[in-house]
Amino acid sequence: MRERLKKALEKAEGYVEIRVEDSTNSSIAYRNGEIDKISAGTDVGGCVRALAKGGGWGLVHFNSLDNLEKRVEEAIISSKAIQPEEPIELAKVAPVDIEIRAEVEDDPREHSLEEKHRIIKEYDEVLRGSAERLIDTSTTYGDSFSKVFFANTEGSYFLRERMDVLLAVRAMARDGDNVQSGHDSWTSRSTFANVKGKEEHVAHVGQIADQLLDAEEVKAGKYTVILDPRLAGVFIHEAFGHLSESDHIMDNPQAREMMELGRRFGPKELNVIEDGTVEPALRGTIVVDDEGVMCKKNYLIKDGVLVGRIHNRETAAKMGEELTGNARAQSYLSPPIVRMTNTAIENGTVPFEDMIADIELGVYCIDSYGGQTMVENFSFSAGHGFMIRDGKIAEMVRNVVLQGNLFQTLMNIEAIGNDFVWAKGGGNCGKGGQLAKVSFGSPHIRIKDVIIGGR
Amino acid sequence: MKKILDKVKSRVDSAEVFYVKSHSTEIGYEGWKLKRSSVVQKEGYSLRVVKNGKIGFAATTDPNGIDQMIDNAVATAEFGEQVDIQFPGAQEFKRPDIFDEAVTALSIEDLIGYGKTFIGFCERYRGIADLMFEAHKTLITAKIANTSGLDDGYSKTVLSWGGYLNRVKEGDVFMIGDGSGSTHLPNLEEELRKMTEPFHRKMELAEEIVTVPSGRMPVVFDPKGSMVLLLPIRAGINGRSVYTRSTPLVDKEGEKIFDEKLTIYDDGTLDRRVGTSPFDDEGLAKRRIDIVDKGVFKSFVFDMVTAAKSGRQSNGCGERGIFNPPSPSLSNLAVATGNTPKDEMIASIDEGLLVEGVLGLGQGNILSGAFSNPVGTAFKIEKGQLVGRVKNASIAGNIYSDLREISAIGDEQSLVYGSLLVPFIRVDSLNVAS
Repeated sequence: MRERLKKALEKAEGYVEIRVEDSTNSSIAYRNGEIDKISAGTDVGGCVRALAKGGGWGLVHFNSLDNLEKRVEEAIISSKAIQPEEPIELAKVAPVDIEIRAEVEDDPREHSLEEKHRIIKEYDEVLRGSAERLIDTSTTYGDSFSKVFFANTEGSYFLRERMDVLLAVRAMARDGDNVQSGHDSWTSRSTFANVKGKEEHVAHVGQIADQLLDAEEVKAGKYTVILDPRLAGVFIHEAFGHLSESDHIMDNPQAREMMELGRRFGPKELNVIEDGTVEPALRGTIVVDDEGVMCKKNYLIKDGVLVGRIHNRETAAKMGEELTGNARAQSYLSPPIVRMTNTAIENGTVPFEDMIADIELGVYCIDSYGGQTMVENFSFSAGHGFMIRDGKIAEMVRNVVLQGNLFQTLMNIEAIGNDFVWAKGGGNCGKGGQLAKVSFGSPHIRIKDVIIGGR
Repeated sequence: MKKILDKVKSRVDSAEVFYVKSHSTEIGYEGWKLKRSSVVQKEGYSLRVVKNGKIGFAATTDPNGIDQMIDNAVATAEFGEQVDIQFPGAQEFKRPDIFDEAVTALSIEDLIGYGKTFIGFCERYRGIADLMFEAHKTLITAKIANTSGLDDGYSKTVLSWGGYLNRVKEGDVFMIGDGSGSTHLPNLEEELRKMTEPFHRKMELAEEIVTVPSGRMPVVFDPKGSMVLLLPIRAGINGRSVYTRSTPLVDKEGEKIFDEKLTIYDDGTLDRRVGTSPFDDEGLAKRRIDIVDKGVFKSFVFDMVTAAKSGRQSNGCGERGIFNPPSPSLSNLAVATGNTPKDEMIASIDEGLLVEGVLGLGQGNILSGAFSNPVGTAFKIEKGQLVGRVKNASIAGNIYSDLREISAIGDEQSLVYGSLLVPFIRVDSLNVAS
């Protein structure tokens, strides 16, 4: 493939890159004791991206690899159709030549469909038997193996393999008009074994859905809250991480001002990182990005102060900042855009017992059930929560929706725990119609004056 | 298609091949500048088989991967779902008007021209707001063939566009914009002019940030804002939640569930609409489906598998991508018009809210009918007038209780996302928290 790509680029003018992806995947889903979906697929395709002299980005996406030279020509024509007022510059980067192999201990492709099917069927039985009032359960297995080949006219070449294996369960419980749900997932980049031995965790998902039926809705109001590591990780990714994406900042003077380096964002204990190199590989670990830029650990917030943001080659050149290795494309059908990889709040020093001890009335918010941000305003649904009363975890509550202004909320962080973890489950982050596999991590964090919506 | 069926049919009871090819050209403006121009040429096959009454499925985009796809489909059928489905035979389909030469003829330069037109209408906001614009034109060819004798296909064109302004000021963000789509080339300059007309008034209103008290009050949903109400309905009528009995609408067909002013239908046969096609992705004719008629719940939407599992018939709502088996989906959802002009709806409100968009659309437990969302774009109504923009407020409720009384439905529908037709909707007592 290296030679094929190089040959296709021989006559190219300006900057041109080709990315070819070849992947196989299989998935099995059980729902309510019955097989719901079982499928297998092979996906092959490519993308040519061109930046002609004085032109804009021209892209061609395709399935047929038959005539790559022709696709290169088409991309150059597309590029020339755009005449930006200011020429697009790319930050300088040394050409890479690297082959990143998937480090697989236990390859799912060596396990039979029969075995995968049996495991998922058993989990579905465990889930259905985990509580009385479950009306809908689903258990999903998926594995995929992909190879991305990349070459550009600057002489870079890489091959990046990755293997992903996923187990996800969801349960819904109902009592009259009251319908509640629970979910969880486990992902691995290295071993099929990760989907085994999850019986207790799977049962817990059903139990949570069932227990939520009896939980009171949280009373709307302002509370001191503790976010569990997963929710805290989702929060920092969604509410803050997206604002650190330079493609949104680059051409927007107001956003530049809002995200000015040196601005205080939180207490001095707050450190936020973005790192596509974390090993053993997490979902967001890519090592080299889709422009051939090597990833590294980047601080976004250090000692509470904004110190960095994430870039692709265009945004780094335009803003005169260092490359971070954050250009990612979901697949050959997408252009690389500025994306997060593994995002985390670094470990702090406060033990959970100390964090909760002096909260008279608060909410312990657990897990994430989706969220959205509109620049500085965010809204997140926790999976569930518990009231905190007189320093102790009290009754379970549901419909815990956290709302607020990011800047106020970060400044209101009162404590950062000493129990850092990377979330074990799978995260897919959406932006510009593309999904990216990401991870997030955090210890428990405590925030004052958070608005909890509800009835 | 025939070749694939011929290869697989001796190994299975029945089989169906679905093929889709699309060729699209897209342009994108960001920060007032043309940033992207791309061409997408996609094609792939998916194969569904029934063997010993069980369903197998596989797909490929690799022209050399057809034999692998056949083996995968047969292998998965061994563990597949046991469902009694019969692939439909050939039939004479009504052919709606969904193809326009003029759309296929559009060049990259033409699409860029629309971007320039949009910028022209927004010139006054340069330096005040960030501008984004997108236009896509797509030619889709879909084919389906099965062992019951169906072997049919259609071509369709889609042109879609969207333009947005995003104003960031002292940490405050205000976003307005709109988009739409059609299978035919409209007078797009005129469409874009109409689309940008309300921007000025909204930008003006956004200058004034006002607060609303917490409590129950009248809320008017603009067609885009009413997605808050339509998403739970869309979840509730999905055939998938019937046999699982997870929708609150189970066993409620024929029952009055909403105010009698509310009529909702889906119609996949309408000419020139992006959700239209002669048949669905399983080869069943598209049709009009009455979902709610004068407040009475009429019908769920099914594909073949969810219908069989629920003991029903598919009503032609199977939709699929290359790598996914069919699932129930809507074509062109519409809320029927009422008889109240939208200005009148607002004029009679002493204190209330006009909601054009919310944050977190679709999050939380929408299947239960519940919604709880901070407002994104919303304006306060005072003594019949819009007086300013509302931030940091949220609306919450449950459609199955809050839509039992709807005080007015607008007399005009607007196209939302190119496929939904929705009028203004006013609910007199909705929970607002601020």
